[in-house]
Amino acid sequence: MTPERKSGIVALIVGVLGFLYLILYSGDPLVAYLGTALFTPFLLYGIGVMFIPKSRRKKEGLLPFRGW
Amino acid sequence: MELSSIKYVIDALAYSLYAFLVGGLLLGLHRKIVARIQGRPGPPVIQYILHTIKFYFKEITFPITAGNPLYLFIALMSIMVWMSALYLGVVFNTSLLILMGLYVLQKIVEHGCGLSSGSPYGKLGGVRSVFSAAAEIPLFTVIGTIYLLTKSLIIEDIIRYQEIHGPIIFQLPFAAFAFFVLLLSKAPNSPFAIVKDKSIVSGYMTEHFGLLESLIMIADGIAWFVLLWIFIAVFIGPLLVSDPLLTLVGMVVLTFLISLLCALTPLLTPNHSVMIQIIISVLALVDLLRRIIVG
Amino acid sequence: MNEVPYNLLWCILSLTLGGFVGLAYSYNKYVKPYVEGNIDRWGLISGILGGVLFSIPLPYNINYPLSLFLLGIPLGMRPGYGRVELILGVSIAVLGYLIRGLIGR
Repeated sequence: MTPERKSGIVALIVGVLGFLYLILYSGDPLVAYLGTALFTPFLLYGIGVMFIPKSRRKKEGLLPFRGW
Repeated sequence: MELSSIKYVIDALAYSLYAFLVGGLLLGLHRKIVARIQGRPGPPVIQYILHTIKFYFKEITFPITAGNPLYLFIALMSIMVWMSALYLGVVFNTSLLILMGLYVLQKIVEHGCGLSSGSPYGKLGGVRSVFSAAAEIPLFTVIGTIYLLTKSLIIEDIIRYQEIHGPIIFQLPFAAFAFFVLLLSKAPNSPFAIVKDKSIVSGYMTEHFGLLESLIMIADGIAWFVLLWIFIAVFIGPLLVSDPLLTLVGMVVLTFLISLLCALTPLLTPNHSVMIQIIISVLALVDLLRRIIVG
Repeated sequence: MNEVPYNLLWCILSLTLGGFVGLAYSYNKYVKPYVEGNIDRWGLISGILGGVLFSIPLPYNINYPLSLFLLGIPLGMRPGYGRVELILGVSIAVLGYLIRGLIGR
């Protein structure tokens, strides 16, 4: 598994758990809104990583040249 | 399990979608107007949203030089900052000081974005973002001046003050101008946009490509909405804020003005940009001191 | 606490979607990058229809999202195309809105 996919899965787990907590236990509107602000990016990133197509490069995750 | 909390979460998501769409369309309009003034056809107005969606489905890899997890987390943090600003400012009308704190967090995002990537262009963008913190000194003085006038920093109170006394923009024109310069410094292609100067490729966003760039663009769209909304709420007040449709009209007019300025002015070099911002902040400070002394 | 402007959300969402449709359509149909004075038939139809639909009251205010979707098609067309259509549609919409306001409904 590439590090990108791994990070995506972690982010997805964090996002889903956060949203479950918000839906199940938060009653205060402020907490619900700010919690949404906190966990939406994790969910967005996690879902986005799942759309990454398979790489055709030999060594996955390494771009050929990075100077400095 | 409470139904109300589900409703809150859905409302929050819907509001941020709305803010992103409006902000994205306005940024697209900005590009279009700049292009028309320069005699180019320009991209369609939906281009910003289109780019965001396109980049969302692109591949990312972590560059070897990137400092993880900061490299990844900073893009998420960018959305967190502006969604929180959206909810605290636009939805709950809380204090201006919290929004100011969130705006400072945005500087951390830009800085961390540039420095975590390990690219020289990104680093230069991050360093320039620290220079352009000069744009925030007017913000301090603007907040001080507004407090002297309204005796409160809660946005709700400021709006209520304007219901009685009329728009603040006529009472504090210089503070409004200083805040407008802050808005201008956040706009792309503006004279103060040294952070995203094309001479350093894409500034701090150079190494954040694909999915991560899409996330930062979502945050930028929401940021544009929030900043325009704050300007309208604090300086023009219930005249426009009471009806979301009128707020939209105000945002379009403001974006049009900013686009005119962006298209007609050259991009300043970093030292000139910082000097002009410092001059404006000194003038705003003098205005504040005068108000404190004279009363 | 401010309520979410859901009616505006639907309008903006349908405007954006209309823009996507218009862009995809005009990129498939036209090859030349920038042409002035060209009028697209379907763009013209959707612009005029959108303009007319804007001021016809339908249940649940569904006319605004629908008309903005139709107006979004010329709005989103590739650079140089769909200009006349959009201006025509928007002016019809504004005219209809004003007339409706004068009648008092």
